[in-house]
Amino acid sequence: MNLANLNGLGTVLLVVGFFVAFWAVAAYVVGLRTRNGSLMASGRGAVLALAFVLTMTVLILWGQFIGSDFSNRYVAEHSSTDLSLGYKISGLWAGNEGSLLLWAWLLALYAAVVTFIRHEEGQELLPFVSTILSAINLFFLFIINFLSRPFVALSPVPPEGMGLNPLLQDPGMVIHPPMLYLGYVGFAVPFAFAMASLLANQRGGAWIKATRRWTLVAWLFLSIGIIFGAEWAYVVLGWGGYWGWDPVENASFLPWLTGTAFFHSMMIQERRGMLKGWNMALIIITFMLTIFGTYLTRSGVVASVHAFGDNVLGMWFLIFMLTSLAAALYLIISRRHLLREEHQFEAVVSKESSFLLNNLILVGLAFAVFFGTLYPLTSGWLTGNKVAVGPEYYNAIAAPMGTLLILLIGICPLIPWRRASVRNLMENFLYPFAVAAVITVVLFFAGIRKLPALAAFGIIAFVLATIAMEFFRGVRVRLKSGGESLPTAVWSMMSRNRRRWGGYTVHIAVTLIVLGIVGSSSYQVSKTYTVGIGQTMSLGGYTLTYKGLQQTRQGQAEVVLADLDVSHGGKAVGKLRSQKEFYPNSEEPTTRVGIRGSYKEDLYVILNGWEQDQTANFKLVINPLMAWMWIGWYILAVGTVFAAWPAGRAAAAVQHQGSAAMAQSD
Amino acid sequence: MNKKTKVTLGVLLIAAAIVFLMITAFGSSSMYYLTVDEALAKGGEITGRPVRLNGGIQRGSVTFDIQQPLLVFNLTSETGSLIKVAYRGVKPDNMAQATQAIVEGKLRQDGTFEATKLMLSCPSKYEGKTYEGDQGSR
Amino acid sequence: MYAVVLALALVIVLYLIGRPLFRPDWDEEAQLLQGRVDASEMERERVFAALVEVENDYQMNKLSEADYQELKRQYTRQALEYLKNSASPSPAGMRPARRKPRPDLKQVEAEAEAEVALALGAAAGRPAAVPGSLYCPHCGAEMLSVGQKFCHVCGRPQRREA
Repeated sequence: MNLANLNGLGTVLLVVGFFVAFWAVAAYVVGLRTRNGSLMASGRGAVLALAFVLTMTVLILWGQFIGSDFSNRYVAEHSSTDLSLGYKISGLWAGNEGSLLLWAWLLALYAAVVTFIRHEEGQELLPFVSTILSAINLFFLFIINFLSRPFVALSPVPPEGMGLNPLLQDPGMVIHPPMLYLGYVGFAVPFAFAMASLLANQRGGAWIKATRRWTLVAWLFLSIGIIFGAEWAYVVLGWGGYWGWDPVENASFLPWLTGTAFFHSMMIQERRGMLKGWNMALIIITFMLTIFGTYLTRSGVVASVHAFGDNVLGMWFLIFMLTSLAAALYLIISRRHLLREEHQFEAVVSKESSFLLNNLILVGLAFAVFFGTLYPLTSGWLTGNKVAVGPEYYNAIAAPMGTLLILLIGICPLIPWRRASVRNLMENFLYPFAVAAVITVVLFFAGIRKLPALAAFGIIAFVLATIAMEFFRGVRVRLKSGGESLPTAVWSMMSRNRRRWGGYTVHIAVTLIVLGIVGSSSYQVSKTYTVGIGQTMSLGGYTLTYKGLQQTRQGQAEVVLADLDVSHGGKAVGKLRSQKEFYPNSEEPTTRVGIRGSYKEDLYVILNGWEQDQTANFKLVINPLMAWMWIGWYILAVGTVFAAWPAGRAAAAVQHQGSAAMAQSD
Repeated sequence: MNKKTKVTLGVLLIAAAIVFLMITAFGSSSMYYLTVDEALAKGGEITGRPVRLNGGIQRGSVTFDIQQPLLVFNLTSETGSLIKVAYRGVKPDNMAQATQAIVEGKLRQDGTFEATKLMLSCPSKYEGKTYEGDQGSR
Repeated sequence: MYAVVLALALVIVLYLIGRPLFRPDWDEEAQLLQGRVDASEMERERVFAALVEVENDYQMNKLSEADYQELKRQYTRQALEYLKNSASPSPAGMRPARRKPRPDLKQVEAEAEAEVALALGAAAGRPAAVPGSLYCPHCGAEMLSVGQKFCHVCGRPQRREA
């Protein structure tokens, strides 16, 4: 351990971190057993110390990246002096070692925040929570210290690094990993609270209330991470699509599905004290899936675009997953008396049952995706024949399930808790149904004949109409009590119940995303052309004129770009550029497609190749309604933030109205 | 029947629907995942059926006709046997650097493989090159 | 040079970990002693929240008249029960200044009904008639009476609710 340079310092700090994490766990465990407040407080100090130590290590590594310190092998492998600052910074998570350090750091930060902020609910669970979070981090620190070290010295020091993988030199790829990790790590918190609640023998389910915001935050980051991955695939991988059901894509989608299911069924437990065992199982599964997602990406166990590959690492992840699963199961089984339901389902048509349906669909879809992803492995073990499933399998299941889910989004808000009167339901459906029917007929005559797509559009129209009606009726109720202008009424209605209206906003967003998916998958058209300069290509009403090739420099890369003039219906509408980028550290060019997007569709152009005489080969793709997917994601983020935002005084008054102690005079 | 039974029935119904979906989706899209040697061994058994082949790319065997476009190359196995692959599509960016390929498609009667999908994997795709003697860098 | 940085870091770490060992810190213990959240307390919150929702759902035409009356009756009854029974004493050692005597039952009932009416009124969209917040926005203490102008725990003035 040479302290003459940063590598040595970093290594030592990581060792210190390992022992600090160990102390955190030990002090808490012994302190809890013996009810020794000082020991527990020491454990608390260790949580803070760990965050401090890991922050230092991350800053050191960042410093090495920014300063191009190639004495660190990891830096040399993922950076170079001529990289822009942004990519030097993102180089931290370009490979295994840095990514795992990022995981540990984020977890330590989360743990520190959880341990030290004041919680409205579940304050008494905190010692247990901190223990569990520290234990998880202990595992990651073990990996970082012994198996995947970020501070390995390189000697002799190379004058220049290998540079960042060109595929990662994209803004989407800069954001995607940290967002995804914030999501993954975020789910460790509700998991820890759930286990803590069992360890503390709590019957009441306070852990649900304590972790609601954490769950939302984790889910938000996971969603952002996924969408940036999709955006990257769309623009840089350049095959015309954004989701290939790649094993690693699936690995990030799985916890998203179960996480969504979880925060719906969470509400049932909050409201009605039901589904306690189910919620426990769900959060455990979600947490396991986040670890599994990390495992899948790092170990290359199923071949995919992402896999970095290292099977020793994979083995340890597997051990960790199995051990924590066993521990969690033991806890649930030994304390199952705490999980008795407080109420029963009262009616088949009720919000509870529609949430249950929502859960079944989401978890069912997750199971199907999980099964398909692992099938090449399992079939290889079981039958000797490795069989894989293609995207058709996933799409064939996701399409009907997704459609059902969207339908549920439309129906569910109209159903009250405990029981619904079917007559009221029908009345409330009338307008949206009429709207949807009209739109469906119009679409049919406008040329939309593919039945599944037509049905999907109809359902989407129905859902948007029902949500619009909810807003409309809610505001009307509010206006009745008088004294408010329309905008004030809308705002105060929404802020009094952020959960509900934030949730509706997110529902709108999801519906729009599905709109984008349906449009781009049902009605995508493409055509390949080989053209000389001045020649034209056409697709879907667009005519593109190939103006020629240019060669320029963009940052590190030599870029060959094709200029195209675009006209639509005879009128010139603009220009497009489609290019290939050649980076010094890679013999292959990376693609950056040219996209001309409108609310109606995306015109998408891939430059495939060219000859000496500048004859070029292009693939043209039209993706209808693609823009709505990205629009939907923005709205999703806004809606989630709104839903998670701490309630203002007015809303708090309503929510606390019940639980406030009444005026007691002394 | 009481509410609980109804709800349980509903749950089972949905679960059954999902399993049913999985089975049908499976049947129509599952494909054999074979190495070049395994495919050659199975021969006629898999002709015309969806297959995913995994093998190496033979240096120098890659030709690309931009006009069609048609990409042709030889997929090799460790034992040296090879299968000629014809892919009616664009030559991927990293073709020259790629050492392994995964192709999906069907084996033709004449022994060539008609690929509808091509995926390349470079063992060090994200690393470019790595420095010697490392274990944890991958 | 880096040895100095390391030494500094170690000092901070040891301080964070070691200090509590030499200073008895009853904060952690107190947390445990605060008591588990009673299941019944959560149930009580649920009942009140449900009352608000039922009112809302009825206004939005999701509940039939019959269901509305039935559910409202059930929840109101439960709510009154809770309010009557709740005079829960504070756990020992936590907030000794807040020990309250057992309230007079009649007064409690009257206030309970007012409470419920308030909840229903709020659900129907009528702004709460309570002029002050029910919790002190500064220190979080529960107010002793509606309209209380100053917090009795931290002394800060209570703003009026819009």
